[in-house]
Amino acid sequence: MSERPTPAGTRSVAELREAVAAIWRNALGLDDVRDDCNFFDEGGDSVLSVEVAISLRELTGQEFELDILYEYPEFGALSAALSAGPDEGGPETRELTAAEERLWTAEQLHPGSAVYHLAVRYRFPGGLDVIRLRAALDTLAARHEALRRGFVKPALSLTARKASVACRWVDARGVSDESVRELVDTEVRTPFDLGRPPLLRALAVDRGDAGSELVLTVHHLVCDGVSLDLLETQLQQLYEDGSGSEGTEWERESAGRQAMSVRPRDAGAALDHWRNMLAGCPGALSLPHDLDRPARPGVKGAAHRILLTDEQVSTILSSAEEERLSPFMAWVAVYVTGLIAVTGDRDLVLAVPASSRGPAQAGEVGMFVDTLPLRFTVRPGATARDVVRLVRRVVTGALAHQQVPFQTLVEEVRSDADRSRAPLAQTALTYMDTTRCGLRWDGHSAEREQIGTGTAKYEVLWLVTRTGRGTVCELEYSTDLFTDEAAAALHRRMVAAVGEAFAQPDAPLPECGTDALDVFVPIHERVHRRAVEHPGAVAVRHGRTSLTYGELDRRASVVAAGLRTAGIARGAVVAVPMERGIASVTTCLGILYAGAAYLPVDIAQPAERTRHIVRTAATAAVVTDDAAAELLAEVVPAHLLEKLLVTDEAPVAPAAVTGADVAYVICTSGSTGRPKAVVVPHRAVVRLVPDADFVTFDPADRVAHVSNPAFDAATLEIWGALAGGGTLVVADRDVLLSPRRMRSFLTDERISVMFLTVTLLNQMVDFAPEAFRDLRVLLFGGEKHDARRLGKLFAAAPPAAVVNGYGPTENTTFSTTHRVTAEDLAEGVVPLGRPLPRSTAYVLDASGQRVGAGGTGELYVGGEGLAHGYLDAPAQTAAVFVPDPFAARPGQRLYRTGDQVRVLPGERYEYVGRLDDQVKVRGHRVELAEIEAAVRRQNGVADAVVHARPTDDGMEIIAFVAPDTAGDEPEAALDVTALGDGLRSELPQYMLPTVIVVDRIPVTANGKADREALLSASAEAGAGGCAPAESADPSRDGDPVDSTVTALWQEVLGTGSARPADNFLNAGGHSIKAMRLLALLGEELDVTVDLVDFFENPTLRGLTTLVRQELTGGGL
Amino acid sequence: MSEQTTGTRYSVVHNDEEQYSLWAEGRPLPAGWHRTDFSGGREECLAHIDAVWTDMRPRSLRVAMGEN
Repeated sequence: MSERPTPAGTRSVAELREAVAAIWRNALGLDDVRDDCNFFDEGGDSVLSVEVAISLRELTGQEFELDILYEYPEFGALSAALSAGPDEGGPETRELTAAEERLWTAEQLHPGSAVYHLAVRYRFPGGLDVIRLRAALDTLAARHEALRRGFVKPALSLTARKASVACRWVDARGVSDESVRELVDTEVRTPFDLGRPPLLRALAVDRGDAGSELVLTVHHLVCDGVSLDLLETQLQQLYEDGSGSEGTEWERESAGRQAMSVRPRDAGAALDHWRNMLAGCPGALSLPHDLDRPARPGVKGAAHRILLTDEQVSTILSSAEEERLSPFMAWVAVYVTGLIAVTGDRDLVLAVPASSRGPAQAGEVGMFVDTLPLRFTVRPGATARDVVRLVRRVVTGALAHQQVPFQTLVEEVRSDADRSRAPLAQTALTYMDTTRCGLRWDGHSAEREQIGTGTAKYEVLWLVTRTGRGTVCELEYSTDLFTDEAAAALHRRMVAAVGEAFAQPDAPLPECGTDALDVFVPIHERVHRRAVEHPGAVAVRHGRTSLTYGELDRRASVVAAGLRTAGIARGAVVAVPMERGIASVTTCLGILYAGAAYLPVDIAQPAERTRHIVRTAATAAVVTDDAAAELLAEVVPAHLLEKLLVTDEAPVAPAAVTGADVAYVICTSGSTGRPKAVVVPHRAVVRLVPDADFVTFDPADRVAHVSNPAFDAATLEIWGALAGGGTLVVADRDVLLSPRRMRSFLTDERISVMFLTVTLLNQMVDFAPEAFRDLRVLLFGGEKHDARRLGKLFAAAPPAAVVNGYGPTENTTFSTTHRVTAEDLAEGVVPLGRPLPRSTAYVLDASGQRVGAGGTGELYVGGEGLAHGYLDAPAQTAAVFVPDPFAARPGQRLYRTGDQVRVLPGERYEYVGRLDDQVKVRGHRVELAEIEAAVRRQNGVADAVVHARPTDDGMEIIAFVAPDTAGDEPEAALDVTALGDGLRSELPQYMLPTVIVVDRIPVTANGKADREALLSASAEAGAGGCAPAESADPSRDGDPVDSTVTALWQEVLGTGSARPADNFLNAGGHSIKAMRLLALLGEELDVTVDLVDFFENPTLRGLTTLVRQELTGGGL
Repeated sequence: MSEQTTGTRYSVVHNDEEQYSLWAEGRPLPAGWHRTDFSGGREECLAHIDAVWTDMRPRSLRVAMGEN
């Protein structure tokens, strides 16, 4: 071989590179030259640069400028520029083929994405000879026109005369797997400049003792599956001996192997075939995705992989083989069966690739693949074998008419375009046999591995690849629609269902996908199973009393038997007016065992309200004492729990119910002035616990039961603990009323999971911020969080996880959850989070359109957590439970929350406020209209306006009352004490307003109550209580105890006045403010006053007396 | 409540569970929902629903409980 310089045109690119490298080595005294070698960094200077440029001129015969090394200081760039040579005329251009056009169009929609990159990797035990590799790649580019092809707007392909394949060589010896993975990910995901061929690049990674890796990335516009086989074979030959024929027997066989190519027929007849085939085809596939569907399909994706053994595959494919299906067709039948199982759809369209490669293109690299939509309509009762036969008919029909481009079909068939979904087909299947693929050289062989590019072409795409190690099934899914967990669950379920269906190919496929596969197990059955497995485990603890699962199960069965005897059957609603405790838990479980639904009733509320709720919602009640029985006399039959427990009836097995059966009914404040009853089905309960992912419960957990049973956070506590096999630990009321006692409770009872309303959490953080340190999960919700308190919690000793739970009762406790992080607090935004599994959340504007990131709108929630509606209130239900236009499954509803939220990036939401007059008071939902109606009903009231305003201790409710007497002094005319008593007899404590008497309700120009004027008037009045202000000098007798108590009283109530006879509850005080007051007293005077004792006589005088008793050590 | 009562006309609609709701006329009705022949203002539609939706249990539940 001569060293004589020859023009670049006649030497190979690799030879040219080597010659240039030799010039560099000589000039710079280097042993080795790599692409990233910089001429000037390696010691080159201006003189040397001119000498080298002259040598290069001699080498190439080209008269380029002598400063070429300044333009291309790096070796790789320089040699690429030299090999491109002088412009020998423009590239050839032509129009795109149909297949190219389809991909080109997709590229325009998602520019710069890697969605159509084909990326493969080969791992070799030894090193790679990168010089030989580069030469081989360049020869391939010279040989195959497609590897010199680029694409430019509007839609032209151009073929360059020369193109050099970029081949990076990276020294990754001793580098971590993680870093190499990142390197490879970047390599395969970096977009090609489609106008600059070649659309192929290589990466060689030297991993020292761990061998080496070769990664090839090629754009689908110039390559398909057969082309990849061709490239592999030829690369191998070129690498081994520098030659390689242009077409081997294997290649021809490979090209013919995809027997999916059929000669064209009459185009008109073909179009008719497709029109018939696709008429009225569904526009959506009911995939059970767990993320909100974006307005436009995206291309972000990931993949989940399942490896099937040859044995599993032969079982699955045996019936397809009996019907003489090709492996490809067999996998189509398998996928159709799997899709039916996971979606329940029996009319579905699936896209498959079909080769358009004619005999003339057998050895040609390029894009010769069409997409064919296959539509399958599977009748009810069909078997797996029926599907197999259907697939054979549909696929052969499709192949016979495949010359119609997919784009044409899309335009033909699409009528009412849903732009959030891909037209025609939202899923696809590919099948490849790579058992004979791979690279073998230098005595080593390397299998071909596909590398994911973090993209998804469809909502889901199933890639089935037969390899030497078994069959790899990959579900590529859109990460806009699926979390990784949901996609993995979907894939596993699909593969399991396929296994079952083909194990019995002549049995009917399951009737409806999701429901038929997951046999519904109601919550009480789950508790029963725990009891059977671990009867001795403690289910509920309350103080020193505890109940094992075995005993709980037995008692519940007995209660159920007693209820059955009393005529309580499936579908009935039974009131449970009990405090939280072992009795209420036992009773609720017993009611569920009987197949009925429970109605928890807050016993602290006024008797009339209890009677009203029970009368309207329940047909019976279970009570623990005669007083409660008396309360409900003449309302419904009330059964004493202790009598039910000694019944002679044989215990009954837990009732079988469906997911649609009602589990419980919970009353919430109603804007019409009366409470409304939310009817919650069983499926909604298991969707919250135990199926949810925001918190898991296991047998080691000790879950605090602190919520009022009539508040739906109790659902989470009770059933989370019991279905998870853990222990429910009941907290007494006084625990909740003192941060010190709560701290002791958490420690003594070793609580691991608890829920608190924001108000209680704030209270705890103020006085015992470190109390939660040993918790596994602290959940909070019910109201908007307080960023300052959360900050303090995180600064103190936060539990392992802090979760913000948001949601109305109508969507079962939580609609969205978010695990709070320190970063959230630093950023100042604690989002509402993402929807629970099997749930959705959308933010819509007034016209029902979805609001994008940054926008604000009303939050609508849906999914399996939805209540049936409001009991016996069809209009109220219909007004807020509305058709879901976005649901994957038809006929779904959404609940309008009335909450205004802002959409944050990443489908998270931030609470903004209410769209109506509903407020949250200490976690309770309160309709101001209900309070207003109650105030107006009181004697002596002419008019009233109720207003809520946020304070540091939560929401404060103020009633502006105009008395019913003209001319008199307003305060004289109205007996404020009687008014307060009247309200206390009608409204639960958390709804009691601070009453401010005004002579009249001012109105605005448009006739509405002028809240601004009322509020400014109240501010002047110092937000005093309802009692007339009277001067009271807090330090009138100089007693430090009196003055301290009075000062703190005034501080907590936000008032400037206080008389000894003032009633705390009439002056705007409530239990949280009382707790605060007692906690402050504890700090100031080191006394512990019981809230219960304080409420015996909640006056300033009474409190002062209690404090004195404590101070003198005489509590008793 | 600050509902938009600005003259929008609604249809009374129901799904296969025979759950009723309202849907603004002119908007394409989501899959799985059916219009009844009743339409009108919001309050009229709600009043109609109060009259016709007499058994609020979803149809599947009624069927499961052996009724129809």
